[in-house]
Amino acid sequence: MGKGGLILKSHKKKYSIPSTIWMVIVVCIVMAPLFIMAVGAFKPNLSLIQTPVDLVPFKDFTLNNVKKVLAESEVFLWLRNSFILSFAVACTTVFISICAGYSFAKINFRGKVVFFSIVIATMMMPKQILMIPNYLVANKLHLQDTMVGVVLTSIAPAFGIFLSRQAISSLPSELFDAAEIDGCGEVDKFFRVVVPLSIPTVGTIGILSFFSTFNDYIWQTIMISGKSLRTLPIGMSYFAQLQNNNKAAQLAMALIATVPLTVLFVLCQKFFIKGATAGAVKG
Amino acid sequence: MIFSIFYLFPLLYGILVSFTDFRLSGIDFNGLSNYKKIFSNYAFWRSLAGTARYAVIVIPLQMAVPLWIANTLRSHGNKVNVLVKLFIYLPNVTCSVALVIVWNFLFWPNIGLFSRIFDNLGIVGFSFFDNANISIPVISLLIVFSCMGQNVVIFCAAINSIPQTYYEAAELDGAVKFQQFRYITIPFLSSVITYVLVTNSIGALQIFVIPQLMTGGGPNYASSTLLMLIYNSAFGNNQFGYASAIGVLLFILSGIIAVIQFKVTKREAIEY
Amino acid sequence: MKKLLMLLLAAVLAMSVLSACGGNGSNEGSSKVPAEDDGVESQTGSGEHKEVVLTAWYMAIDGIDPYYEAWGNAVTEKYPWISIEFEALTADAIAEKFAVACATGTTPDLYLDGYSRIAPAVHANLTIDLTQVVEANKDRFYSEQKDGIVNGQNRYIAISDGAPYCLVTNMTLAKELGIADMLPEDMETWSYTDFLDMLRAAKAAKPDVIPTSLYAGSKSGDAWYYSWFLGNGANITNEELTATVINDDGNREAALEVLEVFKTMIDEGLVPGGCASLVDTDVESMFYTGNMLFYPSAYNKVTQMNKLMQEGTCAEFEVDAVAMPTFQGEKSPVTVSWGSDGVVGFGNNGHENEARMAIEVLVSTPQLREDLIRTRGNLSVMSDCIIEYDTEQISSVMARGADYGGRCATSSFGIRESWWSDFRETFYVQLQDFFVGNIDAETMLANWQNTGNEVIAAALTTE
Repeated sequence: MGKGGLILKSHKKKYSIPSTIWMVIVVCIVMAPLFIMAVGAFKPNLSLIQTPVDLVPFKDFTLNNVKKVLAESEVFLWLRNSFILSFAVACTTVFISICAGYSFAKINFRGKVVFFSIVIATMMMPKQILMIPNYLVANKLHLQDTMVGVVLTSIAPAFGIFLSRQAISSLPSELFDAAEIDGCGEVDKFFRVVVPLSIPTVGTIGILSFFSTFNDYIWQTIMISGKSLRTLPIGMSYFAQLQNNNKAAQLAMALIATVPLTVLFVLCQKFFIKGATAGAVKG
Repeated sequence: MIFSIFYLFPLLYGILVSFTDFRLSGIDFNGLSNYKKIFSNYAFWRSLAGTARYAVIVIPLQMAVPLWIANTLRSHGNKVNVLVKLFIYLPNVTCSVALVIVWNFLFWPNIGLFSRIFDNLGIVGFSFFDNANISIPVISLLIVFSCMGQNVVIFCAAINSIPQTYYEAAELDGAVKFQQFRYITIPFLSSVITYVLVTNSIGALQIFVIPQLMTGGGPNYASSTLLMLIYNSAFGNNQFGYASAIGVLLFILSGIIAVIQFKVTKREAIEY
Repeated sequence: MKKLLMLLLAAVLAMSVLSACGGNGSNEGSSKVPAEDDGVESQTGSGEHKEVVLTAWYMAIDGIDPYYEAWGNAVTEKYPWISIEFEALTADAIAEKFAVACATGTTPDLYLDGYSRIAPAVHANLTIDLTQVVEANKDRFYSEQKDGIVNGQNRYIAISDGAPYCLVTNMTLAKELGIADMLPEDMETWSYTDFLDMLRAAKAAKPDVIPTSLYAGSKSGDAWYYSWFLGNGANITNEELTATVINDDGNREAALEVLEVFKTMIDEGLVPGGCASLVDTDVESMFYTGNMLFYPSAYNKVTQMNKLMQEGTCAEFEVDAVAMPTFQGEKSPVTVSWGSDGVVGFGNNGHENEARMAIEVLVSTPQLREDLIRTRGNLSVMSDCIIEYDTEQISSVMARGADYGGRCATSSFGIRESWWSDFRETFYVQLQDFFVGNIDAETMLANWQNTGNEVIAAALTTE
């Protein structure tokens, strides 16, 4: 059924114009901060704090802010640490989520409801309450100030398990029955049917857990002491504190940090979410 | 096992702490007195009301707008898809500094854009954040606009896995866009919608960062949320026991709401 | 299932008790592994002493890192087997990081910060006794150490003092508007009428100018308000620090006069709208545009601005500072000066002695402190420091601030007690309600007194 691509193409022009216009408006509103970041990063700080604020692009253009960031911060080290951390957390989360989500969705076992409730319950306790006990655990296991420790304590698979359970449970049951008739075991079924069909879910969980780990600033600050393990949010906050009154430099830092994330996001979307559509349709 | 060390233990510990007077000087059991203190404290009731007011605005908008965007995106090409998602999702990833600058630029007294407009209209010294009836809706909108990227990504992924043939068949039958949306997209997404609804409700009960930045909860807790109260008690005043007790109440509240939502969406799911 | 739960609960309980003990600073059974492993590579010839790497946390400030490193080097020079690893913390996470560390017994060996954040740890007996260090350096201090004394033991050493609270003034703007001569000649003695007239004159001369601002969006900077009350003769707490007295006869009148000034400023549009939600740093940014006359802050801001101006992140203008007015323009109005910065040591890594030695080095070497204090913009609490500020003009303002602070500053109205953090919350929420007009001045004082008393009573019964 190589029809997937064809359908998408023929389908392209059939969008409704009013809702597209509305969507563009929403995107513009949401994008305003990005725009200001991109413009402000290349302006002297005074333009940003004067009244009225001067946000005309390329007026008073300066590279000083970017130079300052590159000279006075270790932004690339921070980015590297954040990437390693978030990537490890995302991979683990995806793995746990898909396995557990599949069992919650399609396998019947005793205490399923109870276990599932416990998983959901872990999302409901505010993080602030859990900081002290979480740190106690990490400390007892000598995991503080290590990358492994931060990874282990940053994994929060509850949302992923929940999402993949919901996604997998909406897959037609006939597929699984068919696989069973074909003589697939539980493990086979998982890798041959569930995983391929869940690629968009895998991508979503991966992206979401990657970026939420990326942003989990307070926990990383608590877990990490020492310059070599500093992650981007810690570094950015440190830099922002030193440049307390220099908004332009802070924006330049944010811009430099955003560029690699943008590339990553686009790649993820291409490989996991859109690219997977054809596969899903085939199935 | 690992699950229980990293998740269950902290959870139980948090609940346990709520029955103690946990300060830096030590930990003493004091039974239910934290809970008594909570219920006699007007700050708690105001924060509870505040939380509810934020949630009532945030949850529906955070469901509806992304769902509608995802549905609109369905009929657009790959490039538009990726770009729109990128622009909607990125703001909540990196540039909180930029967000704060933008909001100050818009909302600051005297200097801010809106304040200048109001000045020209003859309303001098107007502030968005001194009156909870104005600040809560404004902040709720800020929350929706800066956090909806996640839901857009989730809905898009789910919509993309709906077999295209369904829509073709519907089109042959002459179903208009809205009918397609109502009778194909919604039913197919129902389980993902449940997910988003439940997680966003939990999230909405834990609104914290943006009101903390914009109003700090004032005036006199009118725009405060439960999590802001927890934060202030735990890390401002070092009353971990008291903070945990509020946390447990919030936990129970989230639980009740989630159970209701599961029940309701399940019943809906059977309908079609 | 039930049995399992009970078991789990028991385990949790045991762990929490353990952690509480750890938190209490009993350093015998320290099985924890501190950052020691990381730093063992270098430094061999230390003889019989076991090598020790102390960890130290401090608040990040632009340009301060080298001065902390200098302290670390000085310590290593004197005691070759000790070195210090520094960690700079940021304002938006320091509360969580320090609270979690205190609550789980994982504090660093050395911690440097303002006393307000350290006070709970000191009062909970988590910090080590530094009495011998203070005794050995007694001659260096201007006066007795006021902070961090628990049961006669010094558990905190202040190394610098926040400058007295005042109105930081944009003199360039005042001259430009032609109202500079409305400031008091001694920059200290003026009345509410003088003050309000000057704000009005500024507004009249140029409507765009922001005369000054009020803020009540967060607890920080609340000491500025206490200076108003105390300066006008309204006591906040009684002398024994057991009750709030702001609403008692004799204080109420003076307090109402202060609140009346605030109300007038708001009603006449002499301050921006949004007073109840602005925070002090918002106001700071407005001041840096060069378009605001008075910035409610303390003398130390004067020193910090020079650097910003050189970098071009702040408009360039001449900065001065004037004391808060009083109702009738009394001489030498009382002001608040606290926010002392200092150092504490923790013993839970088993490095109590080494931490004490490191602190001793800091306290006994004025050169190490001078740079730290100048970068912070604070005033020294020890007589051996000569702090040179960037320009002569700043030096003269700071000298005036030091003199004013020496004569008129107080910090003995409860601000150093462990319950203060709770107490100040009762103040600023009422202030918010007052600023937006939900309650009148009388109700505000009554509410503040009641809720404040509850906090103090609760704290006194648990202690």
